[in-house]
Formats: sequence, C-alpha cells, structure tokens
Amino acid sequence: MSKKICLLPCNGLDKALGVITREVSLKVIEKDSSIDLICPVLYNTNEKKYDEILKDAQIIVIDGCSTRCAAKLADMKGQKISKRIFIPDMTKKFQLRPGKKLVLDIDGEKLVEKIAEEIFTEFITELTTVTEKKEERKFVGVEYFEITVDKYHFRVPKEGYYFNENDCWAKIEGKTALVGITDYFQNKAGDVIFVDLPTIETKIEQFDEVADFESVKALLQLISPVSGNIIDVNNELENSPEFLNCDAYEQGWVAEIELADLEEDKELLMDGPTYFEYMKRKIVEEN
Amino acid sequence: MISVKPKIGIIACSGEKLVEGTLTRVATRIVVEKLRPFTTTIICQPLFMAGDINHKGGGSEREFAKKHKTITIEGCDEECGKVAVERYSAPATATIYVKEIMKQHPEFIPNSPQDIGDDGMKLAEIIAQEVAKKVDELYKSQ
Repeated sequence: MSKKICLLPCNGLDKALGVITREVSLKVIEKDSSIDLICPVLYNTNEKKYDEILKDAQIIVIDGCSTRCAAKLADMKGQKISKRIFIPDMTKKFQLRPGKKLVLDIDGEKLVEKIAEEIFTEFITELTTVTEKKEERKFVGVEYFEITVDKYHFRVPKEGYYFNENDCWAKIEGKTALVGITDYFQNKAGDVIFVDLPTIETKIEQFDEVADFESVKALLQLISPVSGNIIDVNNELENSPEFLNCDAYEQGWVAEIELADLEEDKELLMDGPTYFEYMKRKIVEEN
Repeated sequence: MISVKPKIGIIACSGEKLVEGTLTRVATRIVVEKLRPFTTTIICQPLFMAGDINHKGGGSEREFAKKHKTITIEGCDEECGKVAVERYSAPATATIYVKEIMKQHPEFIPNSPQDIGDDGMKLAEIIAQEVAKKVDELYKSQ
C-alpha cells in the first residue's frame, strides 16, 4: 500500500507567488481528496493536530519565494521532504507571469492549473510508484566474492548481476533491471555527496549516462549496462547519497530500467565471476 | 518637525482548507492595498514563523511585531496569528474574529475556500472595514 501524500504550501500572503501555493494546494485536494493538506500556520502553532496524518507520510512542499518558508517549517519540525516545488521555477517553465491583484488573473489561473496538473502527472505518480516498488524491492541472500587490498574492501555479487567495463552493474529482475555502481567504483570515487537522478520515462541506450554523481574527489557518471526505459529512480539517494558508498549493490541502486534487449546487451557485459577477476586485475595494475 | 507614526502590522491567520482562512487573506489585502495603504503593513505569517533564520528569514517581521502595534485576523478557534505573534514577538494589540462577523452576515458566507465568489468578496470587504476601523483607532492612539 502507498504512503499517504501530504501537501505543505508556504501560504505566503505578501507576495503574489505565495498566494499561488495556496491556490495550487486547494486545486489538488479538490481533485483528489485522499491527499492531505497541511496548514502551515496551524502546523506551526499546534503540531499535534497533524501527528497522525504526518506519520509515515510523503510530504510535497510548495514554496512561493526564496525564503522557502514551507521547507524551513518542515525542517524545523524534523519532517523529511519527498518533493519540493518552487513556484518561481514553475513560472519560468510555463512562461506565465501572474499579477499581484487580489483575484488571480488569467496567467495566475493558468499557472495554478499547470502546477496542479504537474503535481499529479509527475510528483504524485512518481511518489506512489516508488513507494509501491520499494515495498516489493528486497535484496535477499545476495552472496559476494570479497577481497581486501590495503585498507579497502571490495565485493562483487556472485550471481544475478551483470557488469560493464565502466564499473557499473545491472541486476536483472525479469523484464526490468536495477542499475548502480560497483564497490570498486565507489571506492575510487570517495564519499558521494550528491546524486543527480534521471527523469522517469527517459529512454537510454546501453552505455548512455544514467545519472551524475558528485563525490569529494570528482564528478562521475553511471554508465548504463543496459538499454531501455527508466521506470523508477531511488529517491532515497537524494537524502542519503552515502548509500552508494556503504551499500552499493543493494540500497545504493540508482534507477530501474525496463529492458529493451537484454540478450544483445549481455554481449558486452560480464557476469559476477568474470567481473571479479577483471576488477582484481585493475586493482593489481594500480598498485 | 514632521512626526512619522509607525504603521500597524496586519497578520492574517491564512488558514488552509477553510473559507475563513481565505476571507482573512482577502480582507487583509483589501485593508493593506486599498483601504489603509499608508497606515498598515502585511506581516506574512509563514515568513514570520521562519523568522529566526538569518539568511532571508523573517527576522525583520518579528522585530516589527515586537516594537509596533499589530492586529491579528483569526479564522478559527486555534487563533494561530495571535499565538504566533505572542510566541515570537509580543502580544497582539488587537484581534478580529472573522467568525463573529460571519454570524452577522450569514447571507454572504461562501462555500468554497478556493473561490469565495462575489458574496464572499462582499463579506471580505465588510471584514476589511472592521479591521480598518481598528487600524484607525490604534494609529491615532500612537
């Protein structure tokens, strides 16, 4: 079952775009009453009112200006933010400039409609899909080849994973594959501090870039071992990029790809035992 | 020598989901933009709440409400505006309860917080007039 989705708008009053956050929120709950709306002022004054609603909820914050009051409020209350909407970005995206009058003008109304639509088609769909998939997604009984060189420990899954020469993996799960980076890759990269996840529904070819990483040492890319369509991403990495270092083959998965032609892709991939030997040779050469 | 009196700060409850919340917002803007633009200023409650954050925070809002007179406009019994002003700055100088005004004008009560319609706008004007009266009283007393 999916987690509850809540909207937390800034509800600003002194700027036109703050007003938009409220209108958007009301529009969204009008279309789907299962979504809860958090009143920021009441949440600030009497947070107990929302204890039950916010338990295990996924929160979408909507901020109207760069003060980002809604995001700050969520942070102050120790809430994890699942998605952030920043209205000035949306005005640029949709090329709409609402006026400052009491009643929304045509651009303001259009902007409210567009953002509400985007919340449904992009954010809520993604959050629902991710939640459902995560509940199904389990990494049970993965066995590893292991080797320690100096102070570094490297693992390679024995079965079920395929690897390319760019030190990225694909774990095949029927018609889809999870992709990520190997232990060797993360060891070389150092601590990952930021992950730029791909957009769902992006088509990629084998050896295309799936995602960018920023580590303490460098900017790096996950090069896809397989071709297909991205159907899911690991949003947990946005808040916990360290999963790529501490659990590269399981919690550190980056994206899920609906496979286009696995048999063809496999021609340029290595299985676990082969990649383990390949990785050991690279380590020996470097030392 | 010209003596400049400080403006009166207006804080709307801004409550979500409630028509009362919308009415407080609209009434506040009518007061500050149309009825008393030279003697009032909006204190944006969300910004006010984020006030002690140094960068781009609403610290100036909190400072204003500490030193100057404020009117909160409350939409429901939670009295969020009043509670917030007292918590972060100083007790509000006056409070207007929208529900009391609504009781006197049941014919104008709107159904939807998203679209209060023409009747809702009339009610917001009436609330704004009440706020403006209070503004005049407080402004003159300075």
